[in-house]
Amino acid sequence: MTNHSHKNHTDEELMVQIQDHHSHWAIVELHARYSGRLLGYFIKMLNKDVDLAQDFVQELFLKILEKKHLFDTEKKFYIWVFTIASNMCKTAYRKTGISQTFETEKHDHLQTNYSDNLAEKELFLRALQNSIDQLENGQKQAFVLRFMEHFSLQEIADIAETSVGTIKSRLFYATQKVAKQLKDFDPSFESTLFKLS
Amino acid sequence: MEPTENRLFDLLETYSFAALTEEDRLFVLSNMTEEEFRVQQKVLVAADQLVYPQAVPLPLALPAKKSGGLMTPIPLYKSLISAAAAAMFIFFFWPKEQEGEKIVYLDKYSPADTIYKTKIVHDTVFKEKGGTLLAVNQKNPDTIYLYQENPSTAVAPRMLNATQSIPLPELNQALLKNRGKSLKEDNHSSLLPAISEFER
Repeated sequence: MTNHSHKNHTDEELMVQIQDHHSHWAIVELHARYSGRLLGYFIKMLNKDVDLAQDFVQELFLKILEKKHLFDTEKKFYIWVFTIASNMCKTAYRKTGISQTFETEKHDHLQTNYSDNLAEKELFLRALQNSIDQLENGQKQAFVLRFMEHFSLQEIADIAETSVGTIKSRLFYATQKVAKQLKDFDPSFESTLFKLS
Repeated sequence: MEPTENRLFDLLETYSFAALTEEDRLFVLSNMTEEEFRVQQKVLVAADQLVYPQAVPLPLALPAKKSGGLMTPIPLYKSLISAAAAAMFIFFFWPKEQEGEKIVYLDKYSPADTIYKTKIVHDTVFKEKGGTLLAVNQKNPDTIYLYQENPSTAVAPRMLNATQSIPLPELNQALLKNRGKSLKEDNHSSLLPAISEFER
């Protein structure tokens, strides 16, 4: 089978190949499709630890091979794979408490005095990043998937295996928590740097 | 009834504060200030502008397939197929005697002490065509002749070539002298049975 024909398969068809024939080419094709996006997701969820994120991507695809029988071919593959990824992050949070890493860094930056808007924006983005990193796992997962990976609310609910209402609630409280930490910033520059709809 | 935070989130995600309806604006202001609403919206918009380290995913490293080992159970049909395959392999590929090769013993009576073996190889057959000889094919030897040299012309065995090693006296008159008695003169001849008894 040629590479061209591999690309014509849907994700779910590739999973059927893996389930039925343990096809090497199918898992390689899925890796080609999703490894970049998953790596980005892990980097955001694991506080920019690229090496750990690379390990997580490898581990995730090994899990796909091990748990291939658990995949329901009637459902979307990317939902399933992001569910596994989110569960791996949840386990990592429990074991290492990753969300506490940047607490001291945040205060250092906040105490720096910047005069112009550009510096203010950079400082704001750093503070925002640190605040997101400090969210508890469920809220951070919802926040990253919604506002950085641009999943729909229903997709996030499927990934988190919960309801859309719960996801909305997590997103609201996550946003509120982050905003409280950023209240020291002057909101006046939003009109020039952050275009709101 | 939709929970308050869910409705607030929908408004945050959808409208700026200025675009809110009067009812929604009152609802928002009953839960937070206008400034808090703006900061929260700023967070949602700015989140997409955050820069994270860029990295290229490593190639997929799949585990090597587990080797079977001696303890791995083998299905019966596999072992039967293997046995049949081995038998067929031996049947077809075991070296055989070449067809047409014969051994002819020219002298089967003589004890074999010296055997000369001559192999006549018929390896090339020539065929005359148009006044020239053409090599048609090449064959393996089809007959091997074994023959033995005639014993009468064979080299004498080594034992017969040995010289006499026991000293014997020379034959002379004294040794050849008759020292016995005739039957007629012998007194004991009466003890012998009569010849007539043998004639019966």
